[in-house]
Amino acid sequence: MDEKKNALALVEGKKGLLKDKHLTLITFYLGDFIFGIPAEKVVEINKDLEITPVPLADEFILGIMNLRGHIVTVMDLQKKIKLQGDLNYRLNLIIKKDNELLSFLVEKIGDIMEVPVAKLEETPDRIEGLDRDYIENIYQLPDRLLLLLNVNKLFEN
Amino acid sequence: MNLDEEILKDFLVEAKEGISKLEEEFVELEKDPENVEILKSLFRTMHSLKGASGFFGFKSLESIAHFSEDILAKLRDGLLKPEPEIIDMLLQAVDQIKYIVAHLEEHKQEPIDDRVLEFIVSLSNFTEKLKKRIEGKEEKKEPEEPKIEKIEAEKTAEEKPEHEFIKEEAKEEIKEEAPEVVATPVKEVEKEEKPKDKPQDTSAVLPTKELTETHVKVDVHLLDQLMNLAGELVLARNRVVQLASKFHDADLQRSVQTLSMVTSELQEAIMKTRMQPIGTVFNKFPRIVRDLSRQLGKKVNLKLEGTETELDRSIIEAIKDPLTHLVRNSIDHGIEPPEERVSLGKPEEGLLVMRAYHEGGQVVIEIEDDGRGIDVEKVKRKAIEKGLLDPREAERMSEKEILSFIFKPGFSTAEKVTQVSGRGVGMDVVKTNIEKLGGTIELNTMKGKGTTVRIKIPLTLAIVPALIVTSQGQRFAIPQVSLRELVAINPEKDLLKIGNTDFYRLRGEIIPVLSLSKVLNRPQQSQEKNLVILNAGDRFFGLLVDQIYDSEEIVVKPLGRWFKNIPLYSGATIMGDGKLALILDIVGLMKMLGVALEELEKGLAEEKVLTIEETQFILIFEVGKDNFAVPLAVISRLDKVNSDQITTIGGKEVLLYKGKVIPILRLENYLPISYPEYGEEISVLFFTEREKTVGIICSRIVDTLETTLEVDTTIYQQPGIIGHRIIHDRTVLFLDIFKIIEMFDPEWFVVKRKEEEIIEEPVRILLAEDSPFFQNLIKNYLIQAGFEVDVAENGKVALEKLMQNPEQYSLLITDIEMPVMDGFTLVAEVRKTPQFANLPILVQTSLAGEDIKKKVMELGANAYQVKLDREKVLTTINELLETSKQRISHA
Repeated sequence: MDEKKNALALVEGKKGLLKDKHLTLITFYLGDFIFGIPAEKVVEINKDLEITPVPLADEFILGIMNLRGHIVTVMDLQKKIKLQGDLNYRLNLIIKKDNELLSFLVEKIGDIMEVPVAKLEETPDRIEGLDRDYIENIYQLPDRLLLLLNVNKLFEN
Repeated sequence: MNLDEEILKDFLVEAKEGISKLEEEFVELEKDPENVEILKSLFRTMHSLKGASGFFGFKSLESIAHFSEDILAKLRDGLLKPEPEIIDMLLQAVDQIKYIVAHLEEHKQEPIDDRVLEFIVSLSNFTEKLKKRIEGKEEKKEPEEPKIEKIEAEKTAEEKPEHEFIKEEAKEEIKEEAPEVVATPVKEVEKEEKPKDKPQDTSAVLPTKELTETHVKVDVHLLDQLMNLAGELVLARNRVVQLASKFHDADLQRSVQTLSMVTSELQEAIMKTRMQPIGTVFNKFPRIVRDLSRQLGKKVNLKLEGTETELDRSIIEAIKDPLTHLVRNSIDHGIEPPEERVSLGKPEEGLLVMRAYHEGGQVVIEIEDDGRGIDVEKVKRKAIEKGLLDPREAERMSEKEILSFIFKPGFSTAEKVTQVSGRGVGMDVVKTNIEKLGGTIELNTMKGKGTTVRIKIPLTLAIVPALIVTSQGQRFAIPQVSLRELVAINPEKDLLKIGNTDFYRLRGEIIPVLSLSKVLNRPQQSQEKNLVILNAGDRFFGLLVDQIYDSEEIVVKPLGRWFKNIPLYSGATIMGDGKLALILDIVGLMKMLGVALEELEKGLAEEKVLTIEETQFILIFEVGKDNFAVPLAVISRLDKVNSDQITTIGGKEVLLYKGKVIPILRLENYLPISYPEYGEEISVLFFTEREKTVGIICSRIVDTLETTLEVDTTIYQQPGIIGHRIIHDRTVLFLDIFKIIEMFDPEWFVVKRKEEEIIEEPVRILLAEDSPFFQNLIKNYLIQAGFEVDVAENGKVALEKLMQNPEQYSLLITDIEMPVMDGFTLVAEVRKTPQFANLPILVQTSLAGEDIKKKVMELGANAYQVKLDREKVLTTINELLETSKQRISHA
């Protein structure tokens, strides 16, 4: 994890220079997909945090957890974006928007990527296996597609 | 620390803040002499310093501030230019103020020091001079001025050191500094150089006192963060303690123990940083009240009570404005001018009490005045005028409902908008602000006697005491504010299940019960045996939970946006072990209970409600094809029995129930209804009074619902039936249970009373009651008890009846909520008439409440009872009549 943090710090430093042209993305794996999320939105990546269920909550909400005294909502991203397949969650990816924390479980964290903004493409009308509304853009990696998660949409009710 | 010291402490803190502000701003002013904003701010700061020192009677301080303020006012108004020598004088004044404040802090009194007096004299002269200069300005030409000024300034500056030197002989310490003073004015006059370094120089006139800072301003967010971190530290500590216990190492244990203690203390201290006595707000009011009362020509004695009551800082900040508004209102609209008070027989000086105290995890703040009270009629007129209220509707409304219009936006009763209140900020804003804090506001007023505004707010927005309960192993927190009591029950035996709702009988009161696991939609595995009795406002209900743990102080944390649509939680908290618990929202829970009831109510809404709503839980049951209803509260127990438990002994039908023989009452024997056929299982309603129990047999319990007791009395006019109403497309007959039981056993209600009373002439009671249901029910049981009863459908009619036949009535029984004239007004009106000064008054209500009781007793009622508690009502009546008889015979 420390490595991750260092890497993040490094990226933070670089960001200033590349800001205009590049987007720093943290990538992660869920099922057959690789997703990207802007690095500045990510608070931290964490393991084994206990989730307290919240009865009567929407089905895409797993519950809440304690992140050093802050209450974090834990979302079942698979249900939220209607991703199909059996997943093996291992890590909490915690993101932040307007002081509100949201965590979702991912299977594996990938590389941190610098993506030229100009190379981002429109999301196609249909993506097999998930709800395309939650994908902001796509980016063509050499071997596969990177899906940029629409964070604002996740925070919508 | 007593109150005075507390106020003084606050004053000093404020004064110190003021001084540093003054210093900063003077410096700024010199850089930017034209800045009127700075001048304004300086003026304000000086002004409040003057006011506060005036309040404490610190004469020197007040004078210095007064003259400085005077000069500042002239500067502000552009009559003078902020020339260096003026600023200089003002800075000297600030230094003097600083010196006095420091002295005050140390000795609690002003210094007796010639230098201060001399300064005041020179400051006064300086002010005079400035004044003359302004006057002179109009006559003379401008260029001359500065010259005179300079010379004058030189003089004053020179005079000073002289005195200083004399003093020096006594006080050595100043010696070194004093010569500098001589140098300064010269430098200043000659060169007119940058005034920036002058403050230091001039301050040397006096033994410079550096004000020790006892208070530091800290950002609340920082405190929040500290609190969070302290919480985390506690958790980490707990883990360490656990781990350490595995190693049997004495050194480690000791260190861990120290860590543990320090952590706890740290946490406590941090919690404390957020708490402040409400005195910090209250103590600002003597001044405000003094100014206001002067301004308005009123005499007001302000009493502060409970200033040590602690509240979270953020709340203290937030209540300041609402409180100020309420106090302004009290003085402006409430308290009468002295002459008027005297003519009313009140003491000339009005009394205004600001009181704070803790009550059940909340802070109650009361603002009480003994002024003229709120004129309900005026409020009503105004509400109609403003189109907020329909005139016809108004006639039906109770006092309380009309008063609630005060809190409506755009409402102000002030006839003319005075400078003091009525500035477009109405009570609605006050209410909104209080509600934002999770608080409530309540008005109690008595015409001619005064008004009390009661605000209830949570102690802190962050920390609340809460009871921890579990449902299926998951912990939940229930804020203690809503907690009434805990009962261990056997759900099988102790709950009455009616329709889909469970009820529990708590000391005679029937309260609905919710199961936490059911509410949370979780599969029920274990049996919930603990009943938590909660209340939200006037309504009580029970919550069944698996287990009850300790009460804990919890830190309320908001839940994310994804939970906003669930009304059941008000937040979450982190428990000692780092795990989370959801905090239950009691009002939300109660709504779950209300859903079913509301739907039923909706069906009834089409029928016009003519009486003021008084809702009761009623029980609907079937006997054969007929539907009956009784108030649930009169039934002591409900059960199902097997038909073979009913036998006939000695010609009487009885039920063998739990080892007792209970007589059986069949409604079909007393009412013209078809004979029902009963199955194997028979439902029995038990009615108990004074150890006697009778079982009423019915075919089926249909439902319970909370509804008004409004009935149509026109069609079914026969003993035992009060009236009927259509509920769920069925005609439901409302039983007069007392009458039925009397028909069943004429001796049932006969008590000793009759023997004594027969000799005397009949006692006539006037009953003011708007609901036909209660009219009949109460009237009947009073007649049964041997009284004669006249009924009035509202307070106005009752009053008219009393006036027409003053001698006729020995007792008045009145309801509270009635149209046209409510019970409060009736009692007040009756007591106003000397003739009825001794007429016993019993106030009846369908819901018990200490507040109402207190109020009616204050108004002059003699007793207060719940309507359906026939036994108590009768006992009370007899007691009242007895006392009244004695009083007459004494007279």
